[in-house]
Amino acid sequence: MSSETSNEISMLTDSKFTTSLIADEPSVLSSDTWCTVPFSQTSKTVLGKPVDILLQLPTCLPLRNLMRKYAYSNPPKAGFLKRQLKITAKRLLSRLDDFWQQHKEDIDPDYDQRLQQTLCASTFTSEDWFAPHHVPCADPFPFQSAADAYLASMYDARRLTVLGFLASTLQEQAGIVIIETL
Amino acid sequence: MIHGTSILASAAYCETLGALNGVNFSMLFPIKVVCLLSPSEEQRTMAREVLLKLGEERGLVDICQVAAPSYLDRSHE
Repeated sequence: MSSETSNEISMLTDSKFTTSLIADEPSVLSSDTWCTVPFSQTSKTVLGKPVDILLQLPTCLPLRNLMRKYAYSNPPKAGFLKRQLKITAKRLLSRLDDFWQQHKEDIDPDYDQRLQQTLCASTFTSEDWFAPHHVPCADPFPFQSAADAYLASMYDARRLTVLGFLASTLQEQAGIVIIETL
Repeated sequence: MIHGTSILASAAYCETLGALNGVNFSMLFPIKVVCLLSPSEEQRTMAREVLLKLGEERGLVDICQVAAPSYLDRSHE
């Protein structure tokens, strides 16, 4: 497959991911076949790896939906599905964090400091966003480029998604801890 | 809420670079994720406002409106 075709497939992933979340069904592009066969001749780029993780995330949807369906009618089955969902989500989270640790310095070396500042401030409001030429949380740690800001936000989007799945597997009391870090 | 705030801060940074910075269109997707999945209703509402603003400024309001309606929030329920 040519690199152009590879890029076109990658461009499909964002919309397929959103569609999966809306339809509560995993995308056909998340299958092992789609993730491997088209790339058998041309190896994946650095950006191709997180795309795979993105497409794998909606595979948690059937587990989550069934877990909720059987929560009251069949608690043992719901418990089994909960464990499966937790294992799947943790595996994806681990892959995502491994990727980020490997490439963070190239994409956004100030990510941790910026996130820490966001944690301390936690007052990012719509007024801040709409204020012209004002970047409240990023001023002391500016991004290196718009592309880096986008890539960092894609990491955030994946982590937001997978932590959401993990939160759904926890008891209400424990779930609060996860939800607060989303 | 941290990752949602981080995404919105990234979008704000890109916005300061002007409409031709090359990634504004791409930033719609992470903002959509905040609309869909943020555990904070306030943050989901804010992301929706940001999404619609970006769409209106760039002639993409139809794409953004499809992503923004509240019925998509059911994925968060």
